[in-house]
Amino acid sequence: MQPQQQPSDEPELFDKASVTSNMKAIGYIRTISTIVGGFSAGIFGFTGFKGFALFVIQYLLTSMAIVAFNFGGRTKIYVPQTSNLAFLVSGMGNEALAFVLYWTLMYALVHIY
Amino acid sequence: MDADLMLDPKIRNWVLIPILIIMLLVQMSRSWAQVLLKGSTPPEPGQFKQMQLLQRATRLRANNRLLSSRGFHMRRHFLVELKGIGLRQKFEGSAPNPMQNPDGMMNMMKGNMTMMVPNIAMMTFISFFFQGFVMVKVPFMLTEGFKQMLQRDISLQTLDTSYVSSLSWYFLALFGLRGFFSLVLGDQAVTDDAKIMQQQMGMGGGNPMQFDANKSYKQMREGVKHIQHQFFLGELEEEFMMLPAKKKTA
Repeated sequence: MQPQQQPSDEPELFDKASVTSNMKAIGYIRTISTIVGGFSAGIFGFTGFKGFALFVIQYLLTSMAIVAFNFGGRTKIYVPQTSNLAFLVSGMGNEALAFVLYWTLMYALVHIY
Repeated sequence: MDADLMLDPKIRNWVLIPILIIMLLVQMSRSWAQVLLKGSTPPEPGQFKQMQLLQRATRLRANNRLLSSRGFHMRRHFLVELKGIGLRQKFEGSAPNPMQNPDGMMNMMKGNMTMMVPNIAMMTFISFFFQGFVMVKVPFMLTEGFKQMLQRDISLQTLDTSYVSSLSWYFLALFGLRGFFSLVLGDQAVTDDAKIMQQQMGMGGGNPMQFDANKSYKQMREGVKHIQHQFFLGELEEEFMMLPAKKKTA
């Protein structure tokens, strides 16, 4: 991740190319972790509520890891106008349906057939 | 209702996985086809110059507080004050209506074709070949209302709603694989169906405007004229000593 600027509290100028590449990297990380989460939910045989709980947990854990290891705790300088907490849950809706797909796939392959 | 149905492994081999593979292949060919189809008519360089000028004006509007008073006024002067220069240039023969412009129309049609045709074809194909049997069980509880949608061609009334037909598997895969495609195809043009469908519905029929120089310039002129400029370092001494700001004259 590339910081755009030496910040005081809230940075004032953002380099668009850096922001785009940051968002792409974040998307990749989230997609991969969703695949892993979905597959494990299916293989473990979670149904209903447990599966969704697993999705939420893995999503939050991944986001927290990104904030801690990549951002060094300062989301504001890597993702414009996003606080740490907001980043933890941003984009969850996009990945939710994909999670269901991978979950269904693995569940079917392992438990039904 | 409680017992898990045992499904034939052949369904898995011949339906579940093939549908996924077909969707992957269709998506990949679609993105490559888009890349190929794009290269037919490149836009004229004159248009690029006009668009770049507009971007200059936009940047001025966005970042003007970083400029000193002199710098800002120099740029504004270039853009809006002098006749025939900057945003006051006039252009002739703009083609605002893509309906009358056959070239733009063709591109739009091509774009729509690559988008909608595979989707519709896949849907018909799947509902024709893979109908009439239970395919997969989704791992969560669904309400009765979904039954009609998800079990389109299965005529059992009492079947648990969690068991779905192949068409619903198709839709699930369609939406779920979007993220996967961005991973696999990387930097190529990733065609995101749902987003594009949303865009088209929002624009009331997907009618992209041809670039109309005169109109956009006029709008931008008004915008630039009304910028309130305040250099963010201008009152640095006062801010530093936390004195109240002096009133500025425009």
